[in-house]
Amino acid sequence: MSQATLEIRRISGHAGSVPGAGLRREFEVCKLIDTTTCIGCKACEVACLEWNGLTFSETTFNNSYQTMPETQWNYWNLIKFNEHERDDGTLQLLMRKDQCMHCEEPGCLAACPADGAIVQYVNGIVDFQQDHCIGCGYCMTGCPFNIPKFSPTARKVFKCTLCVDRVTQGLEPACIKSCPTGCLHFGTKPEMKALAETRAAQLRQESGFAHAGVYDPAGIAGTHVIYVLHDATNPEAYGGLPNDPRIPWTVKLWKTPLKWIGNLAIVAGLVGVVGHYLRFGPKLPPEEEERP
Amino acid sequence: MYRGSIKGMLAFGMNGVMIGPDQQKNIDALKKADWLVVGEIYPDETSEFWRAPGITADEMKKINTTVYRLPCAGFAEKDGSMTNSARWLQWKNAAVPPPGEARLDQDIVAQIFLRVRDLYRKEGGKFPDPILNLTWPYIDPEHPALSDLAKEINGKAVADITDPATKQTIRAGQQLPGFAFLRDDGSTSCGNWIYSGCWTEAGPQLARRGTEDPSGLGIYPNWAWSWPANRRVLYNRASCDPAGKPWDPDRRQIWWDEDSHKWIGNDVPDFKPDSNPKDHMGPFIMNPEGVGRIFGPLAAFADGPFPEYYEPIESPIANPLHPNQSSNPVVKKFNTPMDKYGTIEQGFTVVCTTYRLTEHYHYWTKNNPMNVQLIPEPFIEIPVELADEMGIRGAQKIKVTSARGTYIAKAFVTRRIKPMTIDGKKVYQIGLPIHQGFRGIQEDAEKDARTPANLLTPTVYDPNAYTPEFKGFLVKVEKA
Repeated sequence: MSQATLEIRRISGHAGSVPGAGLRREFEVCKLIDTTTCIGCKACEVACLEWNGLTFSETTFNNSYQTMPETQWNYWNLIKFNEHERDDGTLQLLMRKDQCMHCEEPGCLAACPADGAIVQYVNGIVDFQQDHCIGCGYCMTGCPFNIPKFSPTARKVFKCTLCVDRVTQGLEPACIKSCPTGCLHFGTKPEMKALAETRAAQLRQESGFAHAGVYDPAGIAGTHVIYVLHDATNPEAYGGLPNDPRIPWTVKLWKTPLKWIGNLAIVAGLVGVVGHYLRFGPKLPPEEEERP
Repeated sequence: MYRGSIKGMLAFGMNGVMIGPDQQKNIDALKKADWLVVGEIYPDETSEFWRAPGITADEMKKINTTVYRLPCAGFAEKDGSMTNSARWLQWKNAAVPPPGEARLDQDIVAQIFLRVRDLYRKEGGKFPDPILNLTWPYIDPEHPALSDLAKEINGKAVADITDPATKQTIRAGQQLPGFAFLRDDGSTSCGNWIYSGCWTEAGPQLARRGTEDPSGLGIYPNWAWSWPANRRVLYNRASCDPAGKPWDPDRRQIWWDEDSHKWIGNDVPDFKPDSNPKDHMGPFIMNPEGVGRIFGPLAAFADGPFPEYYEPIESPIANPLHPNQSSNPVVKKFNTPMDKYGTIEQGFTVVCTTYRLTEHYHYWTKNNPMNVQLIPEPFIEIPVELADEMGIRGAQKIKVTSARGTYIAKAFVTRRIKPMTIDGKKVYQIGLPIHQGFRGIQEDAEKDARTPANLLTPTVYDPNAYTPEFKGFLVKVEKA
């Protein structure tokens, strides 16, 4: 989805500088999800489908309120339900809205080899540009949250856009607008961070959740979707939210040292070839020895 | 109707087969009717009761009920008001016209009435006066505007009336400002006193959209209109101490103003406006004694006078407080052969409850692909312990049977429902959502067992509010 009015910060697979970098000052946006006040009604799932014009899929009941095991190429917003037994034997039904986290250092973008297929705007939104996507699926290996999904019919990869088309027009994302309990908030990153910390402190001091905290993982320099969790020491309990998400080392190795070693190898090979030519000249077919 | 005395029924926007307890009895009752008119936005179970699961082709031929299915307008296709549980009447305008041949409910009702009135005019009948003389003042009699109806419900002066206290005069034909102007001498008319004030000479109060909140307490007095008298909190005199001072100085709703000798405040006082606190009038003004009741006189309730705990009619235990009178003695039951009640001794050992889901709305969102995607099929929530005992795995089909019927769906094995230990006995509880039936997207594709939840529930009514006992009854659980 091209958003010409948004200023781009990073571009996948792109040589040279980002056009127009630093032109304007823009706020970094952020979505805050308070899992402690979510009731799992799935209104956000429907709002996401409707706003983005995504198709219905047929589902089957599989011993959970959760619609499907994970997000799909045409289902970008999924509440994950988990029955979690705490150490003291009490039970919690944890509900976490899963979607693209819009990482500050996006693994998908780092892994993508196609020029301009993934861009990160200055406001923090990481957006896939399907026009430039080559369908290689490398972004899927780069994502620490298992979010981008491949469409076998379109042969391209899709995920949540943080409703970039709405946000550009000054509107909140569709999921935020639909939430009936107000557990979803949208604003600038500093505002949302402050609100999240206030809520977490309230949970620690007034509601007996000693480990309540904010999920804004440092391993990827923070995210533009942050959570308030009852127990920030155990994000895995919330449907496999990674404790310390990082860009996979394979992607890092391949995109930085290996890439340069590879480039170096290409150049060294060329230099060797030229050097060899200069030193030894062209290789000629062996002269036929005259028969004695 | 089940007993054969009622011959026909008009069902508008109410899926009678699905909502009531002991569904098989409802279906059997409709089989005996001569005619049934259903006004709905979808073909529902009531209008298709004749193809409920278990009815064979031969049985179907024997059903002689004539069903008239009238496509009606949905909520977004008509104007009118919606009243929420905070008592706000909120006016809305039609967003789109009804599709196809669908018509507005009020047009259908008006046109049926006008034809019935014509028949009474031509042919006469027993006691025709209420029909022949009914006020029908709408500009287009066949298409009454809901705004006209709302005005009529608010009430108007039939003759000039003057308020003795304020000397304010309302001319004949003018809208009444509120219920205080209602007279019992025929000089005013009104549809319902609590709604008087919703559509005054100043216009539709229920259509107001003022978002200001002068008190900062979240009262929003200019948003829509709250019955009665735009009062946002009932019995708000109780927020003050006996001297008329607010109990909580930070959240002041109303208070006694000594200077003006009146109750004033951020909300409309729910009290006699000039009753000095020294006169000790009680805040609960609808009770003669002015206070809340623990002792409820028998004139007000079918049971009482004191609150008492009773077990449901079907219970795994006898009431420990008084085992010889375990359940409410004046509960409303019926005594047809269809009204069966199960006991532990008959093998109904598991407690069952029914409920709604956030993903569905009653019985009509099963026609909407979006809601169906969220919860595609019915399920039965059962405790892990019961599942282990019976060897049931999650999403495996199971069968729940009560004294009245059978329900089949996939098991939802959960730790959220724990077994209970009552009087030393282990008692299991299960739960099932009510939304799915035998008519909907999944049902039509025969993707589930098409058994509605209310096949299981008993016809037992609370003796005061007549709420059926949907929430506690006995069943047995088996693998399907």
